[in-house]
Parts: sequence; C-alpha cells; structure tokens
Amino acid sequence: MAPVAVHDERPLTAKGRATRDRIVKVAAELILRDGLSALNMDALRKAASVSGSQLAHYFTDKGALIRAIVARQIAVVLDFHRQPKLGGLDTFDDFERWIDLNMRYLRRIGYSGTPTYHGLAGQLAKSDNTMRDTLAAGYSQWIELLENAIRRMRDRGVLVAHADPRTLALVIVSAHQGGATLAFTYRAEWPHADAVRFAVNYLRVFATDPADRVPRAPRRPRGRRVKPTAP
Amino acid sequence: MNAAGSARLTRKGRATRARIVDVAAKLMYQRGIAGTSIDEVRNRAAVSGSQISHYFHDKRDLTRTVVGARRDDVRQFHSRPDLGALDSLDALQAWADANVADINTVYRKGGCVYGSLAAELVEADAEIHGDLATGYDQWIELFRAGLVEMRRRGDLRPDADPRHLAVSLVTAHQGGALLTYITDSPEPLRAAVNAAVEYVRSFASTPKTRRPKRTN
Repeated sequence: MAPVAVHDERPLTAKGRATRDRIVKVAAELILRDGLSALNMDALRKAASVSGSQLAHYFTDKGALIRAIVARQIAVVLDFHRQPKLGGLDTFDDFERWIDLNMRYLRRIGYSGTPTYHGLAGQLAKSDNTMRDTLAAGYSQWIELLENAIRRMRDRGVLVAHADPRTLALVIVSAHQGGATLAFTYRAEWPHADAVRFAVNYLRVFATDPADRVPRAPRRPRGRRVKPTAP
Repeated sequence: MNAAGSARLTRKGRATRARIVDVAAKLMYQRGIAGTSIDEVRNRAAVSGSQISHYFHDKRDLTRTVVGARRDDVRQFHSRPDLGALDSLDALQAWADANVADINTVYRKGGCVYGSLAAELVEADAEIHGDLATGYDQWIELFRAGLVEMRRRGDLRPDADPRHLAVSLVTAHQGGALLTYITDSPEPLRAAVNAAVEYVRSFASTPKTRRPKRTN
C-alpha cells in the first residue's frame, strides 16, 4: 500500500495505520461507486468494519477523510513513477517502459471499481473549492516529479538546451489524464495508448541525438471501439 | 437537443424544454452533475415539477440530454470559420490559439464543457458512456479528416498517422482542460494544445520531399 501524505495525521501505531488505510481505501471505493454525496460516515463505518469512535479518532470530519483519499491516490501515482523498473525516468528507454507499464496498469485495474486520480478529479473537482486545491496539490507533486526527471535529461545533454522541463512535464501529465478520461469513457485502451505515445514522442522532439528524435509508431491495439453492452 | 425527444412538442413546448436543458447544462458545468438537483433546475428554469417530469423521466434522462447539447457545442466550436476544415497547420494552430483565448473565461471556470461531463461520469452506465463516446468519435473524426487531407496533399509525411494524431489532439485538450481547471492555471491547457499541434508539425514534409502543390 502506498504511504499517505503526512498532513493532518497523528503518529500512529502499525495497527492504527493499517486501520486508517483500510478506512481510506474503502471510502475511495464508495465514492467511486456512489458519488461523493452518497458517502456517509455510517455506511463507511459498516463497509470498513470500524466503530464510530474509531472513525472519529482517525478523521475529524468528512473533509479530512477526503483529503486523505486524494493523498493516497496521488501517492499511488507517484509510487508508480518511482518504481525501480522505471530507473530514474530520465532516459528514453525509461519513458518507453513508462508507456508499457501504464498500459499494463490500465489492463490490470480495468475501467471500473478501482479509484484513479483522474476519476477522483473528475468526480470531486466541482464539489467545493477546498477539494479543487487538494487535487491541485496532487497534480503539482506529479508535475514536479516529471519536471525534475526531464531536467536531469536536459542537464545530461539527452535533451537539447531549449527543452523546457516544466512545459514538457505539463504536457505529459495532461496527455496521460486526457487519455485516461477517454479510455474510461470508451472502456477501451486505445485512447490512453495514443495519449502516452504522443507524450513520449513529443519529448523525443527535443532529443539531442537524431536517432532518439525519430517518433516511434503508435501500436494499434485490436478493436478500436468497444460497443457498449447493456449493464 | 435530442430530436426524438422533442419531435412531438409544440413550439412553446420545445422552447420550455430547451430552457430546461440550457439551465441544467449551466448548473452542471458550475457545480458538477452530482451537485445539480432537479429541484434547482426547476427553480432556475421557472417551470413546475410536473412540467419537468413531462419532458424528462429523471435526472439521468436530463443528464443524457445535456451530454447531447454539449456535444453540439463542441461541434459548433470546431466549425468556426477561422478554423477552416482543420486541414492545415495554420488552422490547427488557430484551434490551439482559440482554446488558449478561452482559458480565463471558460476553462478556469469549469474545465471543458464536454470533458468535465465525461470526467464526472467515469462510473456511469454503458448507455451514457456510449453517448459520450459518440461525441468523442465525432470530435476525433473532425481532426482525422483534416489530417488525412493534409497527408494526401503532401503537407504531412506518409508516416504521419492521422488517427493517432487526431486522438493526440483530443486527449491533449481534454487533459490540459482538466488540469487547467483543477490547478486554476492557464499553463496546462496552453502547454498541451500547443504541444499537440507541434507534434503534428513534427510530421510536416520537408520542402525537399514535399510534392508540388496543386494549383486550383
């Protein structure tokens, strides 16, 4: 399980942390299934098998709980980017693997039932302004991680000097999130495949080595559009 | 507006229905679908509860109609005269510029009028996803047709993949719009749409390999 961010968190025992994590996980799934407005502390207490006083001990109010959900989800994203298989995410090979692992992750979680950051953003953004700020803080961490990685590529001379790490990081996160939005709408992987390929090929536009600059062909997955079936 | 749903209405009925859809679309854009109640739509549109239920079975029905209306908004935006047939690098750049020009008035206020519906309806049923996908199909096709034409003319190299580039443009827009709204910053959408157009440009034929332009 990904570590949660340290804000509004008291020091907890290992067991306490496990309970808190379980509450956050169950709450995220409830929001995903029924929407934020349907999330009430009673239903959560039952689903997570905790008492009311336990719940109140970990989360003073619904706002604190939702901040913890968003923090947990961005931690999943950041951990994904920090996994050893991706190296320092600062070579083109690392970014090619980033594409593969993104597609593998999507296949693993499917299009329903597992919380995602874009899903939380889409469902929570308009509930109130605090929520928007919380979600923005998550995106900032993600953008910064990529910005630092891309800066290392530029500093090593893998990218040309005029490559702008921040702009490139914004493009990569935007493409990823837009691809996810369409993939979850179509219940198909091709939009995400095209989007992350675009992101990495765009990074390649700024490669110093002409061989790296050559765009890689998008893979054409079978079956472009899954016809909706009755639920 | 959903033609099937409005075909049998009088002119006055059609106007009332259109007003309800308009109010619902605005409220859903401002507060999200979850944050918009039928009661509120009724009050804002100054219609009675029985009137609203005469036109729409339930909120789901109303939501689907709003998706249809927003799909039309997207199509209308892309038929602006300055965007032409989206079949030149200049037209694509004009598209990116037009989006950037709307950042403060639209995107920072509520994101993309279409994409924010899709993003919120992530766990909706297959029929609603089908409605939303139809809108994306149309949008992708607008770009694809222009890109096919550019490649045919030789503006783009033979290895340019119109479908891939079209999906790149739409997904870049959708993600950029989402991030610009959430972070309340113009940066992400500006970076994303400009990058997508620059990506298309990276497939432009070099003058040497370019076939001579037809003069007609």
